[in-house]
Amino acid sequence: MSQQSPRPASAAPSRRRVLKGALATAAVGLAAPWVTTKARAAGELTVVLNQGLPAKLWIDEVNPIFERETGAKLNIQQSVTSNMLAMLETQKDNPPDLLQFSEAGVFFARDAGLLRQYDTGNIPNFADLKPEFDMADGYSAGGFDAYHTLHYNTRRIGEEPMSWEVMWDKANAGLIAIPPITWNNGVRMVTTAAQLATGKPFVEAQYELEAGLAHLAKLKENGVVVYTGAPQAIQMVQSGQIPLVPFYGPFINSVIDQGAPVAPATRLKEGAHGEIVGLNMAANAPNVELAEVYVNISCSREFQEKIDSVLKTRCGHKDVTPSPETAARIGSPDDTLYADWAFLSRERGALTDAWNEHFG
Amino acid sequence: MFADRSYRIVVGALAALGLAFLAFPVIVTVVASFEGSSFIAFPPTSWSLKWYGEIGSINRIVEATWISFQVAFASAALATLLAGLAALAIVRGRLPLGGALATVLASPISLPMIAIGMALVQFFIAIGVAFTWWSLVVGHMVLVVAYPLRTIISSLLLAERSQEEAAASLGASPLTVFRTVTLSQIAPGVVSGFMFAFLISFDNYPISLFLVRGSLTTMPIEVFNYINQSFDPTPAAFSTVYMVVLTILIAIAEKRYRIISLALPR
Amino acid sequence: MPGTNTLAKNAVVGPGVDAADKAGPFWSRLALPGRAGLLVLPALAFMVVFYLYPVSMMLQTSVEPAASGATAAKAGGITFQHYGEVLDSRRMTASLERTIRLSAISTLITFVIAYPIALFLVGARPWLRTAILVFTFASLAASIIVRNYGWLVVLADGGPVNSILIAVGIIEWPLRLVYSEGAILVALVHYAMPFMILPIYGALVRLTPSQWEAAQSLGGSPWTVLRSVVLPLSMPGVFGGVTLSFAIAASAYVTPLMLGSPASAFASQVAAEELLVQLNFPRGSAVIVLLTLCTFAVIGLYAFAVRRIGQTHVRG
Repeated sequence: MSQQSPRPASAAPSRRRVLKGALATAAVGLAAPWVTTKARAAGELTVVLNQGLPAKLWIDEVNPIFERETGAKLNIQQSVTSNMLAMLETQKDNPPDLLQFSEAGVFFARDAGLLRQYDTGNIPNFADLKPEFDMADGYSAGGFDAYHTLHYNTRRIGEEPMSWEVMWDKANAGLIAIPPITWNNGVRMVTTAAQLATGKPFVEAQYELEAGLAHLAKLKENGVVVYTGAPQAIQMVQSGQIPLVPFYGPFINSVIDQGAPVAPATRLKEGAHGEIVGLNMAANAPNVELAEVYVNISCSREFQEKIDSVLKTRCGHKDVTPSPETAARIGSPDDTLYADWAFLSRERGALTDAWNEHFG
Repeated sequence: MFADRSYRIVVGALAALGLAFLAFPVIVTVVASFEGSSFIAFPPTSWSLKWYGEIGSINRIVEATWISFQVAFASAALATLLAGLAALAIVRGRLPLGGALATVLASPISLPMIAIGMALVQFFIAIGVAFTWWSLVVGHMVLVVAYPLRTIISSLLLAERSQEEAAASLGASPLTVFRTVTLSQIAPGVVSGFMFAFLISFDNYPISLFLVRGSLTTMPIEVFNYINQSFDPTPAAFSTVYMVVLTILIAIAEKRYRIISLALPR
Repeated sequence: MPGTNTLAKNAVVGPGVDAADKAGPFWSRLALPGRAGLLVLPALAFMVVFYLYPVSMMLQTSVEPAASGATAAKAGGITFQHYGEVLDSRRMTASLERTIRLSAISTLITFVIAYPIALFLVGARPWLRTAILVFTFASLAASIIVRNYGWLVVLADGGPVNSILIAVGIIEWPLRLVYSEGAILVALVHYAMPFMILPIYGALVRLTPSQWEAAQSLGGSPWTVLRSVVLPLSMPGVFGGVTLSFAIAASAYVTPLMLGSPASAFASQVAAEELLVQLNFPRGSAVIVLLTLCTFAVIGLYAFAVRRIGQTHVRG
């Protein structure tokens, strides 16, 4: 508190500290890797996986097999579709090798010249994919169907919802959530709202984005909360704070298996949403052969069966039929609707701006 | 300070409330790490230590934490060095527009961190050093140099010139004067600036997000990835562990080098 | 009055030419102004290359004519079209206003909570002081991501805060505290506290016991002394703490992302969306430039106000 003259002893530690700090920095600096980008890239595969439980599955199951078979180093990052597209765009000259995102981004990326078509001759297991999982003519190797539906908290909501209309029900005011427009399921909510608003079947209604957005905006009067990430969405629904949350099954099924009081509504009148997620190779991928091995393992029957048992959703392999547990989580295939993402990705920019004016 | 009782009581009470607020999330994190069920809840529904065993299941957590630690130390040390030199130049060198210069050098903290990250990654790609360890250090340095700069300038301004003048009048060369007198006077600024820089770099997410690739990853990124896929208290357990470790390190440094006392202005 | 010179001088982030005030003729010969000034070069060079240049590229992007789709066809020239789009958008201007507003409010609240702590530290016993300071630093060591997730749990409808409020009888039904501006505010206040406590404490500690006692001997309660003497004298520290806390809050990204909703988006979130989702780099850059300008403007206004008040205080 009072100004004392500095004792000599206190000058010494600070000097010593500075010297020690400098030496330590130098040691750390010399020990740390300084490798230029090019040298790094050789012999190492960089894969960007879809953030969440799917990433965990690939990390746990595919990575060990890959590392064993090739001996090459595997670098994993996790992200979401929109950010991956930005990555492809801004890192054109040195992109990651493989990126895992859904059909929502594949058409856009392909048309922008950001993806490389697979040489399916080098990927034997590719031939075992169901036709709809071979997306955009060999540009994407579909792995799983990101089945999306209304999830509800079984303790707070007594009966399974039978229609998406429950979100607009005044009785559920303040108990509903929707995804952000930056997520693909956010766009699907607009198409579902269009279905409800126009009364047309989905294949036609999905083009009525204006009507859909106008109807979706009415949810604001019903106290809707917009989540911005998986932790929030899952926190909401498993704690019961917000018991009606549209969300992806594969991203929450493991949590349900651990005992969360959550269940998917699989018999919605208007149908649930299907969205096929696949591995996509970047246009200038530095390690094509390694990438092909990774894709091959991902398409193998052994791994695809794990998709069925862990993520509890439809997988790409044509010989793997959904187990009973999985079937309980995804309902009837006839009720799963796939969207025209070629159209939706073209309209996405304008749709995002319009959505933001309502909900932002 | 004041002998007045009402003053001491009121200030004490307000301070206690403020400190309780400061401690609150830390306590929540620690307590939540003992939650028995698979979902974070507060207060805990049951008690268990198992999540401490699960820390390893955070993908590449050991590697990421080690990288974070190295990067934080290097960027804090280098930033403190650069900032210290700049502070000396601005305060003692009597640079024209010194104030403006200091403001510019410290301005990265006013910029959204994602802006720094995005701008830098494109720059690094253009010059071919993207996604390397050093590029990550540089990115963090840009952000944290402001902290030691502010604290060292503050220390320099409040330093007593009389001692330097006395030493100089006894015949010491400017370098010796600096080494023996000035350095100890700016020690509070150096130490506290370094600590701020270290802690901020260690915990940084937005800048690291853009600058990492592959085997280069940082602790906050891996924790964030984990939180997106598992909703159990493992991150709380992990955070508790490294918070305890860092606190012990700070406490040891305090004991041996009295850094907190050094970090306090005298 | 001692220290008022310091007050006016330190009312800016940097000292400027006024450093000459402190120097006697003897020292100024030793200061070797030319050579010492060169010491700034490493930092300056570093920041020019790794900060000013990349950021200027961002500035340039914000005035580029719009590119079509994924391929950038540069027509050349400068346009303010993107700034126009940002200012036209209700959402973007709302996010800028919200960022500044909430940063200002959180800084104010942080100040109110931190000042008593700093006062307490001045009078506390050394061991307690050290312990509290270690703890203050250590609170920065807790992961912001984990802390924010903790806030989500704590502020939840069924969480402890609501439970306590209901038990005490302040409210009847749980308040929706999360996914809103309120939650962001609480988290920002908490995050900024170490950055406010330390500078204020540093300034308070400069005051000698004689100053405290002299002020008291002039009569009046401790509170009057606090208001009219201690507070003004601690302004340099307060200024440093306030500007730092404000800047940190305004540039926050993870906290508003995790605790808010799109309706409570901060400018950095909006910019991230434009950059990463819409791939509209010019517009995203424009948002960032506007946010930075606003932040500087607010801090500049505050510095100006502090200087003016300081000068009137000297005269009065």
